[in-house]
Amino acid sequence: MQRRRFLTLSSLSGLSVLGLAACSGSESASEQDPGPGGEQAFSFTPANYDGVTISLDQAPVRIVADIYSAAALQPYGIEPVGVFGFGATGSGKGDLDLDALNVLGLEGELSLEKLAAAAPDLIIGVGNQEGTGWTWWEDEVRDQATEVAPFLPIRMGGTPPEMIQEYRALAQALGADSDGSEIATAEEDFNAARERLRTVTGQKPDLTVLAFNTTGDVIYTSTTLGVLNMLAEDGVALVGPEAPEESSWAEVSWESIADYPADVILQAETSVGYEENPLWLSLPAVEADQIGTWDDKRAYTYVAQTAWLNELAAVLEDSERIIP
Amino acid sequence: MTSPRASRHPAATHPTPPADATQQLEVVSRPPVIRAIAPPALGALTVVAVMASLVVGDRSISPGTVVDALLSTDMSVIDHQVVWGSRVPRTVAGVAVGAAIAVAGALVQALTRNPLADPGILGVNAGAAVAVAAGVSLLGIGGMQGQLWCAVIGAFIATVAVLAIGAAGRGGADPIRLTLAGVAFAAVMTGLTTAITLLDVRAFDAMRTWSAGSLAVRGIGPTLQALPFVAIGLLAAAAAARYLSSIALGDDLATTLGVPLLRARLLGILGITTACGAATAIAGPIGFVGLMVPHIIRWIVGPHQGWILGLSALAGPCLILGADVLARVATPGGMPVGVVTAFLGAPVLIAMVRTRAVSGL
Repeated sequence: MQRRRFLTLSSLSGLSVLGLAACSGSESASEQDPGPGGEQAFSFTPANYDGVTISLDQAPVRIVADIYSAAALQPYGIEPVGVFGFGATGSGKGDLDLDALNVLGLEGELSLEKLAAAAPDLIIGVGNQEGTGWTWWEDEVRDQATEVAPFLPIRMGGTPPEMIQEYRALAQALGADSDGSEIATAEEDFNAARERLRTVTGQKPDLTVLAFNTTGDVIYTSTTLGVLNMLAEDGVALVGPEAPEESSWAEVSWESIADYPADVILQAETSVGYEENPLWLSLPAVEADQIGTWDDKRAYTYVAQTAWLNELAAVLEDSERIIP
Repeated sequence: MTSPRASRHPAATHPTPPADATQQLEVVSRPPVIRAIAPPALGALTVVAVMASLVVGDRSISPGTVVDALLSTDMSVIDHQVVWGSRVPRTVAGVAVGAAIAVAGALVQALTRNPLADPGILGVNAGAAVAVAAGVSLLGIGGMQGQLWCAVIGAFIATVAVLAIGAAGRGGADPIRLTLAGVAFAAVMTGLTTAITLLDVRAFDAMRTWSAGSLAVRGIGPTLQALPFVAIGLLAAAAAARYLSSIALGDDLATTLGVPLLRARLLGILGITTACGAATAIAGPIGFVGLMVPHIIRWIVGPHQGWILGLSALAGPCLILGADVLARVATPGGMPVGVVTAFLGAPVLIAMVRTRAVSGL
C-alpha cells in the first residue's frame, strides 16, 4: 500500500514537470554525439507480438531501457541514457555498472520526472501482454511514460539463444554493430558451452535435475521457463511438480519437497532463507553436495550465459546418480 | 475469654482498600474449585495443542509415525526428517512465543493498570521491527541470527526510551504517561521502519516475511538462541508477580502496602522486554495474544496476578499453536499465525471494549 502511494505520487509530480524537463532534456541531447543511427528511419517488429511494429522517422539515439534490456544490449555498444526496473542486485544486470548509469527508479518504481529529464527517443523493456508498455507498469504509469517516448516491448519466455538473437536484431535495427568479431567469438564460446553440456548429459542421461527457487517459506520450482527449455534441449533430465496452467512456477512446501527427489539441485541465485533449514540439508543432492545454480533472469548476453553454462556442465560432470 | 472485638481489631489497623477495589475483588473472584481445575485442564489442552501441531501439516503423517519419529528416530525416513526438520521447530517456537507474549501481556496490563494494554503498547514490537530493518539496511545484517539480536536489542532500546520519555517531568512514570509514551514512540518507529523499507529493497524483502508474524522458522537454531531470553523474561515475571496484585490497587496504596514500586516496575519491564523481544525475534510481531490470553485467564481465575501470570504461560502456547494449526487446516499453503491471531483477536478486542465487566483488573 505504502509503495503504491509512493509510486502514484512520483507519477503525478512527473506529469507536472513534463514540459519543463523535456525542454532541458532536448537541450542536452543536442550536445551529445549523435552516435549510431542518425538520419535513417527506424522500424522494428519484436518477435511474438502479433502486428506490433515500432516505427520512427529517425533512428533513436537516446534510449531508456529496463535493466534486463540494457544488459542485453550492452555487448553491442548501446549505452542507455537511463535505466529502470528489476535486476539491480542479481545476474539480470549482466556487466552493467549501475553506479555509472542514470537510474530512473528501481524495482516497480519509475520517476517520471527523471524519465522526462532523460529525454529518450525510445523506451525498451520487457513487454506486457499486448506490447503496449512495460509488463510491471500500472496503467497510469504506462500512459504517462509512453507520452514521453514510444515503448518498444520485448516478449520474454524464449530460450536464452532466442532472446539473445532478439536483442541482437534490435541492436542491429538501432544501427549498432551486431556482427563484430567479439560477438562472433562470444557466440562460438556459447555454442561450445552448450556442446559441453550435451556431452555430459549424453554420458549421464539418467541424472535428474531439479530447478529450485525459494523465498524461505515457500519453494518454487519450474520445468518450463525459457532457460530450462534450453537445458532440456541439451538433454538435461528436469524433474519436479507440474506447474499450474497459468504459471511457469509450481509451488511446493518444505514438507513435500522430498517427494521430488533429484540427483542435482540447481539453486536459484536469488534464493534466500534456506541455508539452515534442516529439510534443505537433508535433501540427498545437498548431502552429496551436487548443487548448481541458475537464474531465469540472467542477462541475455553470450558472455553471461556461457559462464553459467560452463559452471553447470562442471557440476554435472562431477555429479553421480544418487537417487535409487 | 477473647472478645469478638479483639479479633476484628487488628484488621482495622491496616489500611482499607478503596471501596470499589474491594467490590471488584468480590465480584470477579472465582471459587477455589475453579482454581484447582484450571491448571490441569489448561495443561491437558496444551498437550493436545502440541500434538496437533506435530501431526497437522502439508504432508500427511499419522500420529503413530510422529510418535515413532520422536521416540525412535530414523533420519533416513522422510517423514521423520519432516517431523524433526519442520514440525518440532515450529511447535517449540509456538510454545516459546505463546508463553512469552501471553506473560508479557499479563505483565504490561498489570503494570500499566490498563486492561486494553498489549506488549505492543510499550513500543516493543515497533522497536524490534525498526532495529531489524535498520540492521538489514544499514549494517547488511541478514539471516535469522542477525535478525534475532537486532530485534532483542531494538526491544530493549525501545523500552528504555519509552521509560525515559514516560518518566520525564513531574510525577515519574505513571501508567498513563508510560502508555502515551509507548504509543507515540511506536508511531515514530513504525514510520521509520516504513521509510527504511521504502528506500531499501533488501530491507523491504526481509521485513515482508518477518512482519506478518510466522512460526515457519527455518530450523530450531534461532529458537534455541532465543530461549534464554524467554526464560529470563518468565523468571522476571515470576519475581514481579507478588507485587502486581498490590500495584493493581494503585501506586499510593501499593506503597502503603510496602511494595517496592521501582523494583517491581524494573522487574516487570525486564520481563516484558526480554520475553517479548525474543518472541518477536522468533516469529515477528504477533498481535492480540498478549491482550486476549490474560483476559481469558482473569475471567477464569479472578484478579490474582500470580495465577494470571502462571496460567497465561500455559494458555499462550495453546492459543498460538491452535491458531497455527487452524491456519494450516483452513488454507492450502498455510497462513502466517500473526494473521490468524489478528482475525481472532480483533473481534475479541471489540467485545471486550463493549463489555467492560470482563476487563476489570
